[in-house]
Amino acid sequence: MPSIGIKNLFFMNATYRHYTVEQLARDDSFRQWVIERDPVMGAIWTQWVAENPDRSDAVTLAQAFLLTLADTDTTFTPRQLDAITRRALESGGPVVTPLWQRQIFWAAASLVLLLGIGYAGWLHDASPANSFPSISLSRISPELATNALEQANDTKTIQRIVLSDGSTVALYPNSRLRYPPTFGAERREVYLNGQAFFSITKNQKQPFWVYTDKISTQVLGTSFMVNAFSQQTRASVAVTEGRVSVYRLQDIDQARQHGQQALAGVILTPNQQVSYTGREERFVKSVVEKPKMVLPPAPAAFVFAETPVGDVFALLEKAYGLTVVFDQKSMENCYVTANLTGESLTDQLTLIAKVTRSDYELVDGQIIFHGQGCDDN
Amino acid sequence: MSSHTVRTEETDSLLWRQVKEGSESALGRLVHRYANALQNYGYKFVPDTDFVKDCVQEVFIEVWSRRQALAHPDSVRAYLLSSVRKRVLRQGFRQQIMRNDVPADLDDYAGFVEFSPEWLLIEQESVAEKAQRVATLLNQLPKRQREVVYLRFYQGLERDEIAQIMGVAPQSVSNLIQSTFKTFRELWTGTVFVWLCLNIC
Repeated sequence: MPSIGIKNLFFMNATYRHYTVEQLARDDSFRQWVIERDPVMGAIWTQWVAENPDRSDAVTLAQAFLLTLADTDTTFTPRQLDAITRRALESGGPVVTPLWQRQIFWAAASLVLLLGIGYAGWLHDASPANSFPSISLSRISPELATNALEQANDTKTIQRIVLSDGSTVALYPNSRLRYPPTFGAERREVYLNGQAFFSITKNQKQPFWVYTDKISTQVLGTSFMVNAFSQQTRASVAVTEGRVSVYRLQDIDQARQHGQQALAGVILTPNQQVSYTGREERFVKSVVEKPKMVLPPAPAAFVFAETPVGDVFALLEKAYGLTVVFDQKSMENCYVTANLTGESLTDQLTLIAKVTRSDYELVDGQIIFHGQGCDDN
Repeated sequence: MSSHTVRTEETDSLLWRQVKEGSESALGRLVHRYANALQNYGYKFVPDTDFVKDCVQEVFIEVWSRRQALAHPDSVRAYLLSSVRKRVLRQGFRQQIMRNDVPADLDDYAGFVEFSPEWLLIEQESVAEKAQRVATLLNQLPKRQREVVYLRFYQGLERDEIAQIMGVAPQSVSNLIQSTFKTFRELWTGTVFVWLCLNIC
């Protein structure tokens, strides 16, 4: 039901006269009067009732409905609303809440944790050559645990492996990769212990999974680097192109046992990376050390002349695939005149910050600018 | 004339997109737009102010911290109301705030509290008197019908949005509305009932 704004007040008589109680109660301007106690709307409606006394019963009934249904007056004050916003922002960016903090998963998580610890303990003295898939892998992918090809790189150079779908893997020294001769119909799965750079062919119907000792990475078709040595407590994934989801192995195990989708892990976009600390069992998202442009820029794209800083940020976002967060209001008078062609992202950011009297930080894989504004006093 | 904007679907959609892109001020606007509607709804299930306010806070924390993974809902209002409903029911039950009999199906529970307009300060006598009658009638309705009336009238939702929030088929919502007004017509005496004729008449 379309509602009528203030500018249509001249037509109020004609249209509102035919309104039922329900239509009145659901009308925005009516609600602003009754629920939000807007004084302007109050005046308008009171006058309208005076001019249309035959409709006053309908109006009072609609009021009665709204007031009864509202019932309590526990509304938040504007200050409380701001506090809610602040607390939501302080809760942090898109970092995965460790699942074990949620009560539901307590029991399941502690059991899996025990297995994890036991296995890690047993592995402690093992050299890379002896690292075999953990117990959970045989549950998650029996074929990989028993019936796969395995390539171990004991040389000092990178070895190249081509998989049955055409994807390539650059296997680093001291690493090993398990993969099937031909991929199954549902999923493409490999197991990695060590470090490798993946370049995966796109196939929406067959998601590509990289399992490691602790984390699993699901991709649809991208280039990314996985670093996950089972003896080390840290593992990381960095994305060059495309999007990647990263999960903890035990979460996948739990989810598949119950026939569910695993809860979303961390989702990475280009130039983002996530590192997972086995000890703390947390994902930490950040910007890669040397962000590369995902789209080649137009020739003079990075030459700025009195360009509003918002436009500069928009270009950076497009070029690097990262999000720039800044307060539009306070920086609305900031303009950039500079030639940033060929500079690294870090240098570009530093220059922009200098020119706009602001500073920036990289938080959770985003670029955040803090500025007081550029008004000349 | 003040410049209140009518809340169209477009504005909500744009706001949601800005939040997903990481705009802190957009989150603030979202909170200002919906927090009160959420706490009002939550209170209908668990009449505990602090508890409900915490639930509302948690809804927005979750929206912000998971903003990149969140889908773009058809109705932002319905999505948020649905979130707070789930949270209030789940946590209220777990924390045993709701001491009524154990429900077989939590979704079916919908322990809508009764309305009591005597607690409200309604100056206009004609409105106050009607409010009392509306409350009496509503309190005689089954809880699910009470909830439908609330979502339709107070939250101003469409049939499909109500269906999504309550986890039922849209046809069930239509049926609930129909039987509610049938009940109203039966119970309401006096000339006033004529104005109850709704778009299904």
